[in-house]
Amino acid sequence: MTGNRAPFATLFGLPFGDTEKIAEGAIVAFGMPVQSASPRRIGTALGPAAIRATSCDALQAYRTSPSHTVVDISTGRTRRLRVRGGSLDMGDLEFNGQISMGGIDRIADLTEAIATEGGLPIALGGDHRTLEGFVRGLQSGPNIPAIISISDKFSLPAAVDAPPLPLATLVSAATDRTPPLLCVGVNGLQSGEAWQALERIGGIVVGADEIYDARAMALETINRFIGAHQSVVFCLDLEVIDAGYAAGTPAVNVGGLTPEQLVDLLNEIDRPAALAGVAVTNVAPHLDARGLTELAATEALLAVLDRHLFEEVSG
Amino acid sequence: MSGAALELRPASTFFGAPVADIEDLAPGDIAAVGVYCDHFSDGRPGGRFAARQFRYASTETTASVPHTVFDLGDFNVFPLEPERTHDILCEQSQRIFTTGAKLFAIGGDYSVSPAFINGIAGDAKTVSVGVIRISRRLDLLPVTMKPSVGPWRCSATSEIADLLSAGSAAIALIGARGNVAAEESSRISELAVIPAVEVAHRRAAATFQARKVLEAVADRFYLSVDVDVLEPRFGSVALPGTQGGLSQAQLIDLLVAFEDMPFVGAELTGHVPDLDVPGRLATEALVNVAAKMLHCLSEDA
Repeated sequence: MTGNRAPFATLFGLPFGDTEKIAEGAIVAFGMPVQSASPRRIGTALGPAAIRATSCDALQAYRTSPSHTVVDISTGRTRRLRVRGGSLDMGDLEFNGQISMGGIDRIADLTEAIATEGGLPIALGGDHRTLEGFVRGLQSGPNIPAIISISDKFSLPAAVDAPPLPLATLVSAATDRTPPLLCVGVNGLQSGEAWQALERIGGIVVGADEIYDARAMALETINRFIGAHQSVVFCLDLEVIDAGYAAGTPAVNVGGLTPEQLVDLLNEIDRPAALAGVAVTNVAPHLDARGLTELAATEALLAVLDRHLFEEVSG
Repeated sequence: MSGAALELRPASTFFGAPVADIEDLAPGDIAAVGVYCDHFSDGRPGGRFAARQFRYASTETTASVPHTVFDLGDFNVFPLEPERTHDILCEQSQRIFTTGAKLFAIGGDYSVSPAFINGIAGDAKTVSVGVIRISRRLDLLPVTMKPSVGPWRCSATSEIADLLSAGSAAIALIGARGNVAAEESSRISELAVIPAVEVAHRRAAATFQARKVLEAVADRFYLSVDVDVLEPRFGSVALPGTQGGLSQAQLIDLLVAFEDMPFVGAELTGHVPDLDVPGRLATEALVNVAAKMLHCLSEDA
């Protein structure tokens, strides 16, 4: 795969490369710099670059240490940055303007190519509709992963040439009593069509209010879902965070999670047996002068990729 | 022209202070100087614009500041010449200290702070100086790890320790949180390091400990505050978990605890106005921090 644009900064400072260099189990990041379709606010085309820059800042202590080892000054926990060999950042897919089905197809192709080579695809958005291509690409292999959608809604926004899409239509109905879709952090009004689609496949919802008021129960539900599946894909939509904390998103979410709630939740849930991929979407940095949206996206990504990036150092 | 006198607004200065030159300073005066320099650190650039933004925000503030503050403009810097920048910052700050005035450097980042301490050390060779550094980071990597001869934030505290007569023992690092490089953590025992969580929950004990350690080895002090010690949203609830930082109120309370110490200089670093929300809310909030730091420098009772 060639023709991707090289980014100024790469995710976590990984080397820039293409699919020919992918190693089994290695992190393979790529950007999906595409705008939301009208009338959603524009700005997500700059999301991948902002996440990359913030990810390098977040690992500053590791990168300045010759041993790539850091100590948490409050807890004394010592960890080492240990990225699997062959991990790379492929740069950005070429997009022109708003999200379209053609763009979604290209995302699906690239995701499939990465997964086929054995890489762990990390997609940096881009409008949330890009998730359709990402999930389709992962589903082309023999092991179809279950989806954990961390978003305030369970439908994908419209593309310029396609209407909104209920997230549940991306997965098949539950078979052996293991629901294939878990929606975490949902709040606000949802479309009736999306509700019906979710019910048809037996999807599970953990609302934002449940994380606020019944956190232990929410954790238990999420861990039960993770434990029931061999492979899981995480979809992090930054609109799950309340707009008062992270304003850089195409739509405004009032009553969403705080960044701390999101990151703490991701740190505390069980690790899936296999991580099929991670997509981070809806980061529109120019709508958030303080840069907290990309900071929250980076911290959430670090929490999900914890086992793939760090190792504990004893003593 | 109608012949009516034009009413021109004066140029913005720090807290509306009169403009002065080094030759105008008298002992006890506070020389507020901008630092147009963010060229030698990782992370987001933009700290060079902090001084300009502070001037705009503080000119009309109602915050009370000492009457001995003078605005000396910005330090000369040479962004493409790291060594020359270090040398001229050292020379200019030494000239200020020689007058008996106190330096208040605003803006820029911590990478050039060793130059200011060098200026004090050049002026007060026989006086032991202690440093109170309030920041999220330690910046304690060995000087030998510097990637070039120019300023480097990651080793700035180590460079400062080399300049002080009492070495590392004369430095208190307050407000640290999160991850620090293992090479830094192994040096923590050499200094007084007080994590942010202790400041938040046991401020009186934390400040007492810092003062006790520093006053045992120094009789004059330099105050360094980095904006990164604050919780990113300047929220009212600090340290919700392992993330976060101090609230603005907690930082000001911390400064009050050190107010009666004999400071010879201070600096406020790390503010990037580009990250401010429209309406310069963060700058307005930091003006209150700057005002409290000026009170720390003031000799008024």
